[in-house]
Amino acid sequence: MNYLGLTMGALALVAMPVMAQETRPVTDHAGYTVEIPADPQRIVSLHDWTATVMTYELEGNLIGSSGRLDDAGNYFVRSGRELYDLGFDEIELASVHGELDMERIASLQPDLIIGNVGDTIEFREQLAAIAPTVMFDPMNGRTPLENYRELADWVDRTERFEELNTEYEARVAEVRTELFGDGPVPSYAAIMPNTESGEVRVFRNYGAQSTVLEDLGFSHAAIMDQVPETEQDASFSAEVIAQIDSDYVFLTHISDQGQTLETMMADFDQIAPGYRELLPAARNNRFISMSRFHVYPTTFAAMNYVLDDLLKTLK
Amino acid sequence: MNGVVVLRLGRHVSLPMSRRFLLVAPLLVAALLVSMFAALNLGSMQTSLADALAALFLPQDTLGDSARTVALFRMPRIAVAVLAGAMLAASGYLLQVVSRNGLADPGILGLSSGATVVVMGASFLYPAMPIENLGLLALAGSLGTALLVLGLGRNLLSGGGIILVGLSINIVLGALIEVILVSGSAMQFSRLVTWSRGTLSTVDGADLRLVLQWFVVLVPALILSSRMLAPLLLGEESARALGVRATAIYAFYVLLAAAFAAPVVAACGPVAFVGLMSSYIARRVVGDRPTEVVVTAMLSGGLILLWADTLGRTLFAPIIISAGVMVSVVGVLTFILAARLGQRFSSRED
Repeated sequence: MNYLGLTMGALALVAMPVMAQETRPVTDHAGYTVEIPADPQRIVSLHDWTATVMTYELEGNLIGSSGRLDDAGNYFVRSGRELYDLGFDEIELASVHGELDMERIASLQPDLIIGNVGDTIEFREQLAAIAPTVMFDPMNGRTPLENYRELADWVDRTERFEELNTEYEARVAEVRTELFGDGPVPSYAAIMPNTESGEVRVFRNYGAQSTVLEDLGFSHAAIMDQVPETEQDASFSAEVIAQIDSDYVFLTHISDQGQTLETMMADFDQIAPGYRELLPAARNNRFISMSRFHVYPTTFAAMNYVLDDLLKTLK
Repeated sequence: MNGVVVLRLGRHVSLPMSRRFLLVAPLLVAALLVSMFAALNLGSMQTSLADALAALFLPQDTLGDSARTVALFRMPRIAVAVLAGAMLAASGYLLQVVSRNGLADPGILGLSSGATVVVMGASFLYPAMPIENLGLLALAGSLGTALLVLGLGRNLLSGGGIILVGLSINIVLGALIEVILVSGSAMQFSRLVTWSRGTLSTVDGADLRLVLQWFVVLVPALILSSRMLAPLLLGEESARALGVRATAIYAFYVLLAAAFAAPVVAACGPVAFVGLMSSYIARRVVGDRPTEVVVTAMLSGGLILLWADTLGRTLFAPIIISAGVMVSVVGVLTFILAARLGQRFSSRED
């Protein structure tokens, strides 16, 4: 029996490296088919407020991430800091957002790198020379949760994703009942002023914010359907503001830059004077702005933050 | 021929060279070699001398992690910095001779803008276009712009007229870039942001091969034809009086200048000032003999871009400053230093 136990133990030890190297093919959001570890142990994410926070939330084996520099000279994980208190005391800084440092990334010895189509596709060949590299694209026209579910598969945390998703769906049902009961659910528009171009950015989806609104049963303004299906947002002439007849208008702001609901509304004054009288949502004081870094990532923590905010604001 | 030494190789080859060039060129070569070796040992990953030597001399599949990093990332970057700097210098000097204007630079003919318009336009129309194609598109954009400038300014090749045509095209292309930018969302162009700043951080083995292939073809063409540059320095009329077919030679050099700049724009994006500064430095240091000036300018250009990139990736690590930004800082400092050195040389000779 002892011999059998020893033999089994020895076989398990021999098998471990083989298991560690087990790979499987996945097709990433840039269309590349990549052989990735079945259970990645050293994940480096190169986009903080999408792949990093998602991998962290799912308890994937995240060892490093790209970060940003704040005004005080400290490196931080955008949205990771706000939603999870995640910082570079817990994981390694892989690069500073903007220009990747291949040597720093290589020194972390990752077994999976998650890039972002918008920011890191230029570096794909170099990254692939370090470790299997998959590109995530939060703006590929699919729903945010579909993309998140796919990322969960890449980092081998599908089970955890489904657990969190089940909890989230239950909470959405509760909040819907609490806010609207059996009555009708209002409509919304997700927009943003662009004072530089004098245009209005209209969002087909805006991460956790619009995901939660849609899941609660909010209908969206018709103008949002005019954003091409493969885009997250599109810029329109400020004249379209007259078409926004939704019950609510949802915005986001960056608190660190001194932005608030009032400053965002003042920006609308610049590009569309008179909108406060024209738009039903403005007339009825139903412009709502949320902290952008809390509500852009489509993580469950972000979606719960939106639900909390809505409970506070709408009740 | 005061201060000139004639190097003779057998009975048929004699190379007259100024004493100053014979002093400066080996010094620049030595400085370049030392700088390349220093750059090979500098980076965010701690590497040893043994890693650098292993990366240089051993096959890649036998290398450890540190040496492999040096071989994969630092070596192509250093080699491209030196080659690209030299090519921009050659391009800048040729344009300065053609235009008889010491401020000419590859950017001034619109080559960088041409590449940017084509790359951005293609990304706008075909968002799913593979990133690998961008280099070739930049190449086509640069060469296409050179041909356009040459076509429109074929009667204005001398006396700076071609530069005015180049500037005009540059303004039109700049406007086109604006039109493309306001027509799309920021995300459509975010993947071009790094490239458009002029950077070596995206450079890999494929970029090195591209730049090296063009370098190997173009440098002999430049050196072999460089004796035709001297008459052009006298002006078009004087060149004609000496029996030189000035118009054809002007056209040849404009195309050669574009060909030198195009692969650099394709690999690194638009990097300004290297051509202007290195040629100025070279003229101040070695005088006016075209072959000597162009060789000195190429060595200086290689040094400028190499140090701009090396300092950019090490000085403020983990923040990386693109070579395009650093070159303006390092370049201006080098420029001032060289100008002072040149003055000292001149006053000693006097």
